[in-house]
Amino acid sequence: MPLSVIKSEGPRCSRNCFNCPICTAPLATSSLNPDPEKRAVSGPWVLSCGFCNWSTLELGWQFENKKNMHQQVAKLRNGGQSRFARTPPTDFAKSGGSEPPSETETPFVSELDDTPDAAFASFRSFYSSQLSASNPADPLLTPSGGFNYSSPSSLARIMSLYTGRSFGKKDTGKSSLMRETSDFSEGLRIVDPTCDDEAIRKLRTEGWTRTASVAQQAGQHHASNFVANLRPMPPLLRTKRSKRCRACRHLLVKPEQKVQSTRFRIRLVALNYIPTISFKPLQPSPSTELPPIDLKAIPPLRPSQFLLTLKNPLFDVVKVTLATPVQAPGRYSHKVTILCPEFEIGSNVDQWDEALGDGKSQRSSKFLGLSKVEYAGGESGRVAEAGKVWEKGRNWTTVVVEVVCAAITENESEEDEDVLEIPVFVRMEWEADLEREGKDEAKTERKEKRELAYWTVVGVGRVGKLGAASTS
Amino acid sequence: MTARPSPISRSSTLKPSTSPLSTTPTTLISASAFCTGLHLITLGSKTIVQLRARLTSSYGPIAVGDGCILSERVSIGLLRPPENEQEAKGVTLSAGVLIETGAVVEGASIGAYTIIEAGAKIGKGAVVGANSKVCAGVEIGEGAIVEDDTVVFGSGWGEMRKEKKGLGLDGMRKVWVDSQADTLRSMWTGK
Repeated sequence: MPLSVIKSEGPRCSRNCFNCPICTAPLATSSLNPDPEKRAVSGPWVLSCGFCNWSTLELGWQFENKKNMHQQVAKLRNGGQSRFARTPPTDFAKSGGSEPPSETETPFVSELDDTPDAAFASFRSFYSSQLSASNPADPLLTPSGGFNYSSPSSLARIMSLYTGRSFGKKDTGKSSLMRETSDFSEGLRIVDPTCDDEAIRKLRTEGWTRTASVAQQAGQHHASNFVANLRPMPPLLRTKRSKRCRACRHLLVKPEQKVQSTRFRIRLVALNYIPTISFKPLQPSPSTELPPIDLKAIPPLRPSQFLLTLKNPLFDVVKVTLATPVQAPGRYSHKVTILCPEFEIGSNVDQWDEALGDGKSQRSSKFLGLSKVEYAGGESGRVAEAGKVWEKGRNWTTVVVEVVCAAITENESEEDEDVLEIPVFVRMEWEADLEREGKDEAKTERKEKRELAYWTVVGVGRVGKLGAASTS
Repeated sequence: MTARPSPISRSSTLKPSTSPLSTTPTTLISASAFCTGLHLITLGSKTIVQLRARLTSSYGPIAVGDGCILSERVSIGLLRPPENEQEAKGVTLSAGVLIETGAVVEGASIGAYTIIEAGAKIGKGAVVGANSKVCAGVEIGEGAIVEDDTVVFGSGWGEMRKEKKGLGLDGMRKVWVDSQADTLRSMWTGK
């Protein structure tokens, strides 16, 4: 929004944005055309609230055009009648200074236009013309009646007021007398002693629910006591702020241009910097004669083993420490044990770099070697052991989690109480390569120790009923 | 997760359905909807009951009119024993009522073409008139009365706004509910 528009129109949106006077939700422009196919392009149009269903129909307003709503609304009065054009700057001084202008001289003023805005405009126009007529040479006044501080002569005049010296010629001319407003067209509004009778009658007939709340009145330009008189208001303008990362100046958040839009442009997401977690059951080998684990009915009161895999998105080797409550929170306390809570995950270097064996890939080669060993058991009939990782790859590591589900009785269970979710605390520690991040100006191989920790919840499945488990 | 229901049943193939149920051939009920209680549950023609909707007739009957939409995870019916005759009559939904996701309706009656938005709660014995709208998150207290053509909005017990008659808003609401019902029906049945 240009600054000039804000100066003239005030700090409110002068486009098509309006807020609901009842609930302050943004109003949408919708068509009343009964034909659904033509509804998108042809009117008549109304402003309607999607939340409280208020629409400008309640004020008797319909619009022919979908655009320039601000100008269309400004021309309308409550009830749907259009406001007449405001009084053009009439030279009231010509009317003799004492004689009020006749009605024929002000054909543009509407008797209906009794709003405070119209009255103020008439006042302003009348008194500016009076001032210019009584003291035409006053350099402090602009033609519109405002004060002109930017002119050098005005500044000299102001200085003379403080110093007491007379600058230039002293105005000895006798200024003509100013008169007060004496007509409706000049902005004069005489209070009618019976004007409140209508409001009292409405209060008696329509009751408390039809009166506007304090918040609703505060949102209006001019306070209105009744809900039926509330007008849609353009929203207040807000500053537009983008957020940048303090370290790398990357754009994190950039608000959308449209006020109604809640979509934010996020360029960096945390998920790209924390390990991806996947969880799957470790099915028992056929030799054990145990039934396979069904995630829709995990057997209770029996240890079930799951494979927890963490995949590293970073280009550095990450040391991970996992922790979980011994008993999962909730009504039923399931026992959870991570067999290998401390391990390392290899770096996410390019597979081609590894294959070609360039310098950077050598850094992770020792971890590649680990992928072939560190197995807790043989290929078939392997047994998970405490303190040993289950499997390891280029940038991923799998550990075993053992869960003993509590017994859930069918009668007591409520909806979703049988869902097994495990809270896991993940702590990552790695040495970031500053040279790769472009922060090391000396081009020496410097590393910075970094740490990241967060809680996450791993959804597993549903715990089977005790009866079903015993039958299987 | 998907909002589209898994295999649907044209009528009462409810998973654990212990309550007496009266439906019509045009009633659509999700297989994961849940009916419980011993009182009669009546579902009108062209009524749609979506995923995991819960109809509880333990403390009183439930009567759902024609062309109603009961969205996902709504709860219809008394959840506590009735304390007066009005509450003991159970819950009655008139034709074309739209109950949106997660709403809880224990009220005595809901008028025709009224919309109860997501998360709203209608207390025991409350009466909501026709062509009304209870906005998201609003709670209508026990035994409260909401007149016809009223919009209840805000939070908590909310504020009421009576709509002017003759603006055609009731007709627009009817068109909205009917078009939504048609869309859901075509999604479910593929017709």
